[in-house]
Amino acid sequence: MASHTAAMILQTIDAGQIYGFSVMEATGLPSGTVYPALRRLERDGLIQSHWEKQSIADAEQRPPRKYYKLTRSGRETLESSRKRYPLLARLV
Amino acid sequence: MNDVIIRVAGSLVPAAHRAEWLAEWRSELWYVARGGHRATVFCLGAFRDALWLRRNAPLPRVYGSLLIDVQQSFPGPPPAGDSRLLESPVRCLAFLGLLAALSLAVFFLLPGARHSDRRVFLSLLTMFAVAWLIVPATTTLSLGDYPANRHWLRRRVFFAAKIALIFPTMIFSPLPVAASMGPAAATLGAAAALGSQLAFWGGVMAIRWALLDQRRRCPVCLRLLANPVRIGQSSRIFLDWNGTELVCLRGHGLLHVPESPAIWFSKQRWLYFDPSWTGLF
Repeated sequence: MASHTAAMILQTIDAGQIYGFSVMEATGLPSGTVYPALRRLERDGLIQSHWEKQSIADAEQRPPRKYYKLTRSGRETLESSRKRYPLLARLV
Repeated sequence: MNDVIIRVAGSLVPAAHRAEWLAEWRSELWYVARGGHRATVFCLGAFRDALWLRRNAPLPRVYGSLLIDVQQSFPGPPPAGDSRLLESPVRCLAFLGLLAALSLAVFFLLPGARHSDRRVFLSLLTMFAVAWLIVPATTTLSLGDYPANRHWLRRRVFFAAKIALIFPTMIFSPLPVAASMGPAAATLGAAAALGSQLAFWGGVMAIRWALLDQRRRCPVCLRLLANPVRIGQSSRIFLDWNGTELVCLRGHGLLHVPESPAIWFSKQRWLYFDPSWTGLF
């Protein structure tokens, strides 16, 4: 996975409660890139996933989402990526 | 239709992760379809995701006297050196020999194949030779750095034996396919073209495999290395790991493979264990 892809995804997730498809929409990356990248970032301990409660999804008449959020290590990595790529914040 | 694509892709995901994987992709598909996006294109990405999980999903393993819970200690090593079938050099050569024998048997048992035109045979040989020129474009030919270059003869003989066994498989197995098109002169060109394509692509893949397999073997016992472990801090080098280390289960040494080849460390390196390590194996 290219470093800028991971940096873009970390930046997107930092923006708020994010699930896979919203990352695709925000970054413009295809599904075949985004989902493996999310798995890898989670495996590396940079992000963490959790399923939202079924009751919330039921109330809004939609399937439950699997949300991703940055871990402490992910936040530190994003900070160093921002220093390395100053334009990162404008990309997403 | 889209659900079928996700189901088929899901069959590639390891069973332990499949239910959650399917739930996530089905949930996401609902949002994609609702947003008026191209759902089929979205679903095709599931194959790449499934393959990634298949390659990287952690599984606990036991090797020799070394008990390592990969899931707890090493969250996601690459699967290099994972093939138990071809782990020992004898079994690897026996397997390749069996393939070669089968190819030869089919060649000699099918009269059509046995009487293949000489030009078809020559075109297969040519394409196999051309495959050797293409392979460096797909993978490095270097087999790594080995200090003092000990055991070089053993490694080279093993590699040569693999290639020698691959050769008849790649030359004789396309012939029955080409011969099945008929001996008529009109089909001769088509038969040669088909056989050549098979010999070429088969040759590229087989030579590439032989090189990759060679790089994942212990230079002393020639067994496949195991227990791959990612080392260094994740994401330090362009959000990547420093490298991966694999160990010989007989305690001969350790192979360090850099994740991102650099000028100062471009090739994999082998480190021989001294006798102080024997207690672990």
